[in-house]
Amino acid sequence: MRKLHLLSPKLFLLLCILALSLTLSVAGVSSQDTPAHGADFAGELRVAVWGQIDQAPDRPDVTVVHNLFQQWQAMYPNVELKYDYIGGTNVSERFTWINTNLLAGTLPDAVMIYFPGPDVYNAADLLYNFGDDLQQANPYSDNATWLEDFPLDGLVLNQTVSSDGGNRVIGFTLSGDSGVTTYAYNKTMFDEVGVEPPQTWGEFLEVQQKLKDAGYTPFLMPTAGPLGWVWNWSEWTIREQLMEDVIEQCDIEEPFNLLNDKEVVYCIATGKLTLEDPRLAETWELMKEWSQYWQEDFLAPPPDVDLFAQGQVGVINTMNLWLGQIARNPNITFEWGTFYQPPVTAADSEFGNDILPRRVGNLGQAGSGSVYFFIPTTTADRSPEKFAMARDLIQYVTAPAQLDIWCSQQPIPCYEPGTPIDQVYTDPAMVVRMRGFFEPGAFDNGGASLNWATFDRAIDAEWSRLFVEYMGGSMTIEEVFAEFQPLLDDAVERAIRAHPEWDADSWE
Amino acid sequence: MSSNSAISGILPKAGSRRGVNWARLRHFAPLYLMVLPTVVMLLVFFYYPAINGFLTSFQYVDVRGAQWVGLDNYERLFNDVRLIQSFRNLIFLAVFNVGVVISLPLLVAALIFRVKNLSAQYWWRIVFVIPIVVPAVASILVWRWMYSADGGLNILLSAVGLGDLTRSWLGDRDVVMWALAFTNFPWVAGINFLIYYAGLQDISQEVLDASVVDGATSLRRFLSIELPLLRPQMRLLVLLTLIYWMRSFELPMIMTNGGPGFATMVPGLRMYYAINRDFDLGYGSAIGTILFLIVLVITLIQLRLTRTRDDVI
Amino acid sequence: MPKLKIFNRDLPLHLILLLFALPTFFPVFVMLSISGKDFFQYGQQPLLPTLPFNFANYEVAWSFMSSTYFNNTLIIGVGVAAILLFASLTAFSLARFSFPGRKVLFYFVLAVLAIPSTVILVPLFMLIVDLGLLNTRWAVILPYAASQSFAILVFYTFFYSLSKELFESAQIDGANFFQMYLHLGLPLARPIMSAIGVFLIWLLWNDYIWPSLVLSDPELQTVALKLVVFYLGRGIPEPGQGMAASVISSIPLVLLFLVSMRTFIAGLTAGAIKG
Repeated sequence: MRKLHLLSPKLFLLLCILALSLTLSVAGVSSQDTPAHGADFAGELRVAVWGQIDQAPDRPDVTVVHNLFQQWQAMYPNVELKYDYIGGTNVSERFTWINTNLLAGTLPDAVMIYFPGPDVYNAADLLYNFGDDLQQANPYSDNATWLEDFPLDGLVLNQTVSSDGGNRVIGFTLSGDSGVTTYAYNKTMFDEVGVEPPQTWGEFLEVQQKLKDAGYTPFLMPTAGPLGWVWNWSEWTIREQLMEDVIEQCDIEEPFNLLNDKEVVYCIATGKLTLEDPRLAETWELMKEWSQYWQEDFLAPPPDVDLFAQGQVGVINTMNLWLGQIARNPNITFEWGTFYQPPVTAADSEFGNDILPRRVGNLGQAGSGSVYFFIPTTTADRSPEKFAMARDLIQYVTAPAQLDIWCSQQPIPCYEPGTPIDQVYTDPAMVVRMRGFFEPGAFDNGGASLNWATFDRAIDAEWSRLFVEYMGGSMTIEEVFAEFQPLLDDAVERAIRAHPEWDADSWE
Repeated sequence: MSSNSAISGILPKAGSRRGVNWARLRHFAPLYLMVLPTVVMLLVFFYYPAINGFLTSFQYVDVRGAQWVGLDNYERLFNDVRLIQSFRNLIFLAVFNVGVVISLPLLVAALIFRVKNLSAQYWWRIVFVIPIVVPAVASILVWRWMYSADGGLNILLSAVGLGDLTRSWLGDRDVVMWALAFTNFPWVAGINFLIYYAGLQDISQEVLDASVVDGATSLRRFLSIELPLLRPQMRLLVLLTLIYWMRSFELPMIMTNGGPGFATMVPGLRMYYAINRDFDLGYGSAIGTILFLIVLVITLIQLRLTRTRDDVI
Repeated sequence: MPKLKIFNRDLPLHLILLLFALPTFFPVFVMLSISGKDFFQYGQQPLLPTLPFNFANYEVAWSFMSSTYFNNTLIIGVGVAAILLFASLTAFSLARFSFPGRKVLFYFVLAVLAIPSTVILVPLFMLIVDLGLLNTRWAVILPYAASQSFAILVFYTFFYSLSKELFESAQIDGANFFQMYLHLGLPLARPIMSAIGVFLIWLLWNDYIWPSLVLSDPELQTVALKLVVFYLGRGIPEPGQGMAASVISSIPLVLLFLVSMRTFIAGLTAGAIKG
């Protein structure tokens, strides 16, 4: 296990100095207005990519990244850009792959990921810190600094600041992503049954009851397989809606409106977030009530065929990254539309309120995104030239000009935050289809990470499995929470022990 | 060293048991050279990583480095109710499959052996070997389809009028372990029955002929002659089956991911998650060490049995 | 007349065997049947074969899987050859000569069978990294080649069963240890060697977890790896394409078995060979 601390502090310091001097030298070159900064780029550059981005016609969000990589490659014919596909079949396995290779020092020169998870933050010292680069100009942009290239004051970067304030993960500018809080529905089926997209949680259940009465499966909820995380995300959004005040109490440091690992541990250690909070149990009860409308075998692995495309299912989760799978699916012959996850109102639950569920993943605006890049420190270690190439590639891809290319290739066009949908679409059918991505309007409340996974993936996985036990009827909420409490206590203790710099003794 | 008739006693007369007999060692030097590649490879690719893993089980490891924590990981392990449950699942699968491996492949091998027409015998063997060409992963995926809500099993049940029995085989915790166990039903295809068949062919024809002369029935012949003589094969297959289930977890991983909930979790999968997903290397290694000890004990018991009866080593 | 009689006596046997064969082949039937269905055919009739057979599934699956054949062949070819050579050498030495340390070596080899492969997954991965072999075919070949214990056990049982006189006469002729292996052990072991060889090919063809950890270069990836990614790793499930990929991943083994069936079965029954 010696390899784990393969980066001694001295070496790290050396690397930082090296990186800094490189930054300065490259920045110096880039002040000339020709692409001379990269004229001498040569050799192989390997990038780990999130799945088969060169063979994904139904995923325009990654295809565009591939296209931009190709454009960059065309500028530097002496460079051979090669992909490594990140291993695994689902989000968790892919993070595992990144993590193992990161800790082993075996990642390629640059890495493309989705929604960087806590694994990547915890290994922050193995990721190159772009902090200084962001204060310099991007050679592919006219702005004074690279930071200005990111819309909304670099909001997308705020979401991935590590707890020491470093910018180690660079987000790609893309248009509003709704997380999975947008739902696609079979409009033909809705019309036949005579229901409309719901505005509140209670209406949502009523709609599903009517679909069920008509003999359809109202909702398709993946609970296992590649999309097995989706229902945890639904639980998460409902929980965050009900517990907005807890988020506010625990949000003690920047970036605000988003909890990091320290804040969640603080939240638990100081008793602001406890399993005794009735709203946690209420969230689970709401999920259980909802589950009567899911496919009958929702606890089994997902069906082998797309039941929504078959026309058997009324509603499914979607997000703009996946929309191509519906919008460009030749097998879908019915009319479809989208609506946003309705809030749990006071009429639906004693803890209900009028807060809209957070747009999980990011902020529902142009300039926030799901595609991120980082450079492992091992790249500069291997070769300063490769490091310079990797950073240049990332700067090229994140330059403002590329936003247009991105926008032109997505199923949903880019729009200013708050734009009414009828200014974007004139075709009424398109308004129905895209409504869930525009209404309710853009609001600045991306998912807050009020989640065990924010500081410990292992106990969050345990939590998810216990959730299944509850949903399957083999345990009560009380039994589950009683089993989870010691795990939570241990995990908090471990996290505090691992982070003396948090100064947990001073917490009130 | 146990005297063994089959080993040709090619050696200078053994010297005193104490002390190093250099002449003897020099005599055998070429033999040591012959086993050297194996020894080196096993050392580098099995023992070194295994010892590394064992040491890790006494450490708390994260990206900041390793810390010695004594028996903490083992303490966690024995307090982990879900791990203990996963051992129950493992025992269920292992016992079930041992039961399978000593019955059906043997039965089919004996049946084929009784077919008088030799070329028919040959073709039956081929029939039961061919299906193993489907890669294990592909076959698990097919069985996953069989168990799905609209999948093969429910279709068949409905077709024969047993529609009441249809259910979500992998979503219902009461049946999901049975579904896993019944994967690859009827468990005949593969190497197992060939090993039995080879054993049957080994039985000398005179013994069998004598039994026919005695007027022994087919069943009697099976119970009193074939079954006892096939004991070595049976022991080998039981050992291999037990070891296989202790160490492998592809079936629950691809079929159900250990779910729903913890219903099909096995220790190997829990260890895999601890190591590969949670990067909880110390804990994962502790589970691995326990599994290793179990397999070791099984192997040693098995060896002891083999040794007293057959004196193979 | 006698022929008919024998057939009659065998008939119940054939019927019972058929009873076992049908469910054995059902998954294969399912795979072939679904692999020919497009989205709508699957929706209407998920089980029984439908017409027209949709070869487009195979085109899609093939474009994804084709590059894996060469990798698997190379990796497994080198790995299995190494196992057969070194395992037979070791087993021969262990089974025929009672040299000092023989017993220790036997347990040393056997104990490896007890090491759960997952325990060593991460340390082994780190080792491969240290050796600088990550993302090369050696990263898979070397650990495969080291997985000799089972082969040694089978070889051992075989060599052990050979008659003592054979070797004594060779010794009188002045053959050294290696010559005895080369001229006596190896020729006699040929059937069992092919059998173990085919068995190992079959075993390694399936391996998923280890290659998934060390082979991220798509040009080097193996069959099982790409099959799982193709089948489970996509947002939209297409059962027809997934099953087509499964069929494609089975074809090389089907061919191997058709060619080597006699050797394989003969090899496994080689225990019958005496002296």
